[in-house]
Parts: sequence; structure tokens; C-alpha cells
Amino acid sequence: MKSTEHPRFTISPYLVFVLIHSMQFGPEYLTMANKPIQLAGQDAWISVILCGISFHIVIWMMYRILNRNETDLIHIHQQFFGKWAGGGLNFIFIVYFLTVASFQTRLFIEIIQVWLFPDLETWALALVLLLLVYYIVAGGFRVIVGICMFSLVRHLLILSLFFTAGSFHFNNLSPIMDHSLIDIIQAGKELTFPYLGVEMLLFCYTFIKTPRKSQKWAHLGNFVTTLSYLIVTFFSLLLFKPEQLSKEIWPQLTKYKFVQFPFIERFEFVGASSQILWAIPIICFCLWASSRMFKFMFTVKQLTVLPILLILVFTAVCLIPGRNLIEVVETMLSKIGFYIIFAYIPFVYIVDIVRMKVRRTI
Amino acid sequence: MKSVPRLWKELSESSDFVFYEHQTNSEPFFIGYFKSLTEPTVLQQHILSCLSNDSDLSLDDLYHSIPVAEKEISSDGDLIQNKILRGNVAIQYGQQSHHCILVNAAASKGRNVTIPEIEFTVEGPKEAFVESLDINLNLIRKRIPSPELRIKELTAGSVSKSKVAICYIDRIANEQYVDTCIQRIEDVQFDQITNMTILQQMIEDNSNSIFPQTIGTERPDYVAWAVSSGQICVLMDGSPIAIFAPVNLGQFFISFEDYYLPWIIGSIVRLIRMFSVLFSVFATPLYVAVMTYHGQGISNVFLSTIVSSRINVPFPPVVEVLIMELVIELLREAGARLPTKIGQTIGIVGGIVLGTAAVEAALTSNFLLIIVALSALASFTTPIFRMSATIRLLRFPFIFAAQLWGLLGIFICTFAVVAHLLRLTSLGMPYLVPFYPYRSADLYDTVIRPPYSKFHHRFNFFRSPKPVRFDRKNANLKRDIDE
Repeated sequence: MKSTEHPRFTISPYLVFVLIHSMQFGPEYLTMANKPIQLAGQDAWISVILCGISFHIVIWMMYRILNRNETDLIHIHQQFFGKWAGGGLNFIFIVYFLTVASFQTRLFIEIIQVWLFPDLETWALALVLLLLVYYIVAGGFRVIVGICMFSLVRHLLILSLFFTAGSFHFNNLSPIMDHSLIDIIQAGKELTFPYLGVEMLLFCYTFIKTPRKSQKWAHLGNFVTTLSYLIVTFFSLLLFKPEQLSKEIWPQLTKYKFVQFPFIERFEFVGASSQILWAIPIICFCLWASSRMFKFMFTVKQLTVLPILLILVFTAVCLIPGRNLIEVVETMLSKIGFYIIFAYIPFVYIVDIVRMKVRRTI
Repeated sequence: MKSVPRLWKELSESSDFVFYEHQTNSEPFFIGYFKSLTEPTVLQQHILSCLSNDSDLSLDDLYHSIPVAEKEISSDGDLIQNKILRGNVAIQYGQQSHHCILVNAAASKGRNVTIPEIEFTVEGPKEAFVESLDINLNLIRKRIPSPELRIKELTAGSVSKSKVAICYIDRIANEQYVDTCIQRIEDVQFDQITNMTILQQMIEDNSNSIFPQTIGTERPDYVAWAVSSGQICVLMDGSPIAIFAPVNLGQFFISFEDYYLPWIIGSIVRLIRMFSVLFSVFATPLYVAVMTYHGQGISNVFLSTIVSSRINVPFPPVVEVLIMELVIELLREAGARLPTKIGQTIGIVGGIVLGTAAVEAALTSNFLLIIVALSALASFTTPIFRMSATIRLLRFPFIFAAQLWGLLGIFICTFAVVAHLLRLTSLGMPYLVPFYPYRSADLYDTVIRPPYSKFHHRFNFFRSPKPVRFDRKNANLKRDIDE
């Protein structure tokens, strides 16, 4: 079965780079280096590379599945597992994406509450953000990818690293390979969460103009993410001692305290507000994908489902009160994401191969 | 179809309709015309003189003896009515025959071509469009002496029946854009369309947006440039503005004078203009954000300057900013509504007297006065009038957002504006092209104005069937030293 959208709604293959990169690189990068460094110490950067490579393999698998079936996962589910089981799997993905959206929204609001406005009401900011998300998602897939592209200006903030360069301790990096392989892999497992987001590809495959040509761009997106995470990890290693890191929740925002301009004193205001550039693309994509799945499962209009889903997310965001529960949700999502990436996608891959073999023998 | 006698009866209800019998030996001639629409000299010398000379003419003889090129014979009541209403003289021979000669004697009263006032350039041609469609088309055709320049005439408006002309170059403009444009003008249902800008609002893709999606200009040279780049121009009788589409956001910040300046100077002027747009939108909201929430964010020296200048101001920053923005808007509006000479006076009174008085009365700080005046000045650098109005309006939501959540509010507002721009199209072409969808080959004439050797192809996003302007290989002749 071959299904592609009207060319008016499709995107050029190179935009898959933007898509993959902005889906992976969310606001959770602020805290990502803490736990791996606790586990693997100065060798955490090896875990980052290992995790990056394993995601390359997953991307390759996804393209194999998608290219062979030439449709998105929503339809693959129903072809492989029948209407009901496939529908159930789709529903799991809907719940997963909605949880991710709620988590990202809440995380961003928490950053604002900690760094900018301690008295800010959660619901007020959530309301405004989700209205913004509604406006973007209602514009369609191309508008969301455009927002992703716009949000790439965040990489300008990497320049702020130069201000911290004076305080780097290169001794922190040695000795290399001091930790056991188990530790490094354990740390790598912790790193799965920031790398998550590539699974979105399974749902927007039909929106890519020449999907087969887009694979290299997806790999490039993952590569740039790996590179960014390497910078983040090295930065945490060079600037903080592991003991300091255990007390620091937001090492990446702390770095903005080093930024000094003749007329700007506290750059972390800009740093904290700009986290919206990381959060909005992910929230938009999650809502787009889940509303699209709803559309196919219950044959309703996406535009009617979207407000309902937004209200659900809004309620969920308001129900997460503080740091502790955010961490609980994060651990949970990290586990689910880990199994989706490293268990479910290989599983679908094998099922696909078996199906092909069976069909050929018949 | 209307019968001719009924037509005479109906038209005679207006007192400027002239209808009389011209007695001859056999049957009389009936002559009807609007004296408010016809040129008396043409009527006297060329038409009536033929009638009085010979008294024994048939309609055919008369037709051939009238020395006017634009004439025809018809018995179609609707056509006769339309022609008379456009300044023709109708001559009927005898009561029975319903055939009329229609001779064009339309009076062309109107302005002569004058120098452009909105988009003045120092070194460019000093011609601007006027209200007459024929003169405007002449101004364009003069610049494109090519048989491929197509002009399609339509009418819009059920009462005004305004003549609208679509103008494009065949095989350079994309057919699809032309068809869309024609379709949209034909679909207009409104009765009275008195100016191009009214039609402009009706044919734009999203009429609820504050961003214009077509460019209106009074410069025929700019239109000639746009048409030869593959855009489509629309003119209207009675309007000194021509619009063209499809356009992208970047083109609104291009003054046509950039093309007349050497490329480095032109580019710098353009960069200054782009910067001034950003300044104009973000300066006062940042002031509100910093003064309301992020006082610690800026250095002590800078902060003390600002604080000491507004130490006596009793208002919170947002009120102070809104008052000042309102004053500037008032000055601008008053200046626009008053005759030029009084307007200048008001400008001086407002600028100097009100400004210093407001600071002395502690209604505002010196610092803010400078920012507001600068951002107002910056917003006027946008060459397209409608866009400069948009830029002025755009900063108000930013000010309110900054008051609500400081820097975060500004970020959210920026996101909303970007999302809006991403959703806009112009005749179906994305508004932010070539930045999104990204087209690296079309980036050459956006932020800077490159030398003309870089203009070797037309913008791909205009989807011109003939994208090459000139052959790049022959153009760049590379020489070695001492050759």
C-alpha cells in the first residue's frame, strides 16, 4: 500500500533533519548530564556516543520498515495486527505522545518558575502556551516544521560557552576509561530519554516528498544531536566536579551566569525564557501526531479532536504540582521510551521481515 | 436585453444626459450622450460637424464619415448603455431602426503625471501613477516594449464597474498565478470599488491578517521590474496605486531605490532598514520588560542612568510607554489629516514642545522619549506604506506581553507572530520563502542587494517558465593579470 499526502502538504527531504533534531533536543537537555555523570563519571561522554550510535541503528530500522510498507505506523499497525490490536497500539502511542507533551509543558513552566517568576501560576502559562500550540498545529504539518526551523536560532546560545571557557578544568576529564563497561552502558541507558523523539518519524513518513532520500538527513539530525549532547556533557564535566553536579539541578542554565556583557548582567533571564525554543516544537509535534492518530482511529476531524486533546494536556499539566512528580513522570517516560525504541521498533522490524518471508514463500 | 427606446427614457432621468433630435430632410437623427462624460471639442468638431454638413445621409454613410477611430454600430441595448456610460456618443437614425453609431468622445480629465510622493527616490525616474488607467498602462508599456506584455481587462464592482487591468509578461509569469489572480478579481461581489486598496483587501489570501500580502506602489519603474521578474501587476482605473503579487515578506522592506544605488551602498541601506524594523518592534517592549521585571538583568551603570531619568515619573513603565506611543501615533495621525503646511507646524510643536514639556512635567523619562522617538522614526523607514502601518501596530501586543511576563512574554509573542507568518500565503505562495521553505538559490536578493551579475536567474518561487535572466557563463569574463 502506498500512501502519500498531497504535494501541497509535504516537506522537502532535508527538512527531516530539522524535524529529527528538534524532536530530540528538548528542554530535558538541561538536566541530562547529571545522572550519567553520577554513574560513569568522566567517561560519560563515551555513553553519549554509544547512545547516539544505537539511535542511528534504530533510525535505520525505522526506514527499513517504512520504506518497505510505504506508509506510516498508524496504517502499519492495522495491517500487521488487525483492526483492534493495531488500534490498541495506536492508542498507546496517543497516550505516550500526550504524556510527553504534558511533561514538556510542565518542565518548561517549572524552569520559568525556578529561574524567572517564582509566583507564576502553572495554569496561566500553560493556557497561553497551549493556545499558541493550537494556533501552530492548526496551521498544519508544514507550519510545525517551519516553527522547528525557526527554533534552530537557539544554537546561537552556544556562543555563551565562550564565556565559561576560562573556568574549564581539563583535569576533570582524566583518567579516561576509568569505569567499567557496565557503568558506561548504564549511563547510556539513562541518556535514552534526551535522545527520544525519533519515533515521530514513524508518523510523518507520508509527509516527506521523497521519503527514501530523506534517510541521510535523519541520520544527520541524530548526528547533530549527538554532537550537541557531547558539548553539553563535556561542558558539565569541565565546569563542575561530580560532587557539585549532584547538588546542581540545572547545570546548563547555571552556565548563563558566566555570561558578561557591558550592559547585561544576568543573562540567565534570556537563557531561561529561550527554553521555549526547545519546548514548543516538541509539544506541537506530539499534539499533531496524536490528533492525527485519533483522526484515523475514530474518523473524526483533526480540528475537532485537537481542542479536546489540548484540554486533556492542560489538565494533566495542572495536576503535576512540583519537582518530585515531574521527576516521577520523567522516569516513567524514560522507561516507556526506552522500550519503544529498543524493544518495540526492533520487534516491528522482525515482524515485518517475517511477513515478507512468509509472503514470498506463498 | 434592454430595448433602445427604453434606454433613452431611463437615461433621460438624469439631467446631465443630453438627448435631442437632429432634423434632416428625411428621417431625423437622435443624438444621446452624457455631457459630464464627453469632450465638447470632439463632439463639436468631429461628430456634429458631419451631421450638419450633409443632410441626406444614411447611418452607414455617417459611420464612415466620422473621423474618429473608436466607433461601432450596434443595436444591443446593454452594450449601448455601457458605452454611453463610458463617454460615448450614440447616434440613432430614425425612430424605427434601433441601430446606433457609438463614437468615443470620452473626456480624459485628470491629473498629469507628477513626481512620486510616497516612494520618492533621489536618482530614479520622477514619474508616478495617476488616476487614469490609460496613462498608467502607457507608463508601464513604455518601459516594456515587448509583444509578450499582456494586459487583461476586467471589471469589478456591481455599481462602480471599475476597469481593472491585469498586467504580466507571457511565458515569464506563471500561468497558475495569473489564473488565480483573475479568478479572485472575477469573484469579487462588492458594489462600489473606488480604489485599488479596497480591491487589494478583497483579493488577498487572508484578509484578517495585519500583514499585507500584496505590494502597492506608485512607481511605474518598480512595477516594470516586478513584472519582468515574473510577478503579476493589477491596476485599476481611478487609482494611482498598482499592486503586484505574489510577494514574500522580505520584499516589503526593499525600497526600489536600493536597485539604483551601487550594490554595497544599497545593501547597507537595506540592512539598516531591516535592523530598524526589529528595533521598532522590540525596543519599547524590552524597555517595559526590563523596567518591570528584569531590573537586575542589566548592569548597574546602565540601570542607574535609566532609573535616575525616570525617578520622578509616577507611572509604572507600561503606562509611561503607552502614553508616549499614543502621543507619537496622535502626532502622526494629525500630521496625516492636516494640510501639509499646518502639518509641519504640528510636527514641530509636537516634537519639540510636547517632548520637552512631557519630560519636565515628569510624565515620562528622557530615556524612554529617545526610545519611542527612535522606534517611531525606524518604523517610517519601511518603504511600503501598509507594511509600515503594520510594524507600528505590531509593537502593541509585544508591549502588553512584556508587561504580563517580561522577556518570556516577548518570546511567546514572537512565536505567535512567526507562526502567523508561517501560515500566510500570497496568491498561494508561502510568505516566508526563501527562508521557509528554504531555497538557498533564491537568497541572493533578500538581506543584501547583490551586484547585478548575481541576478542571473529569476526567483524560483515565482515558478517562472523562463527562469534564466541571462547566461551566467558569458557574463562573467575572467581576466588574468596584465591580459
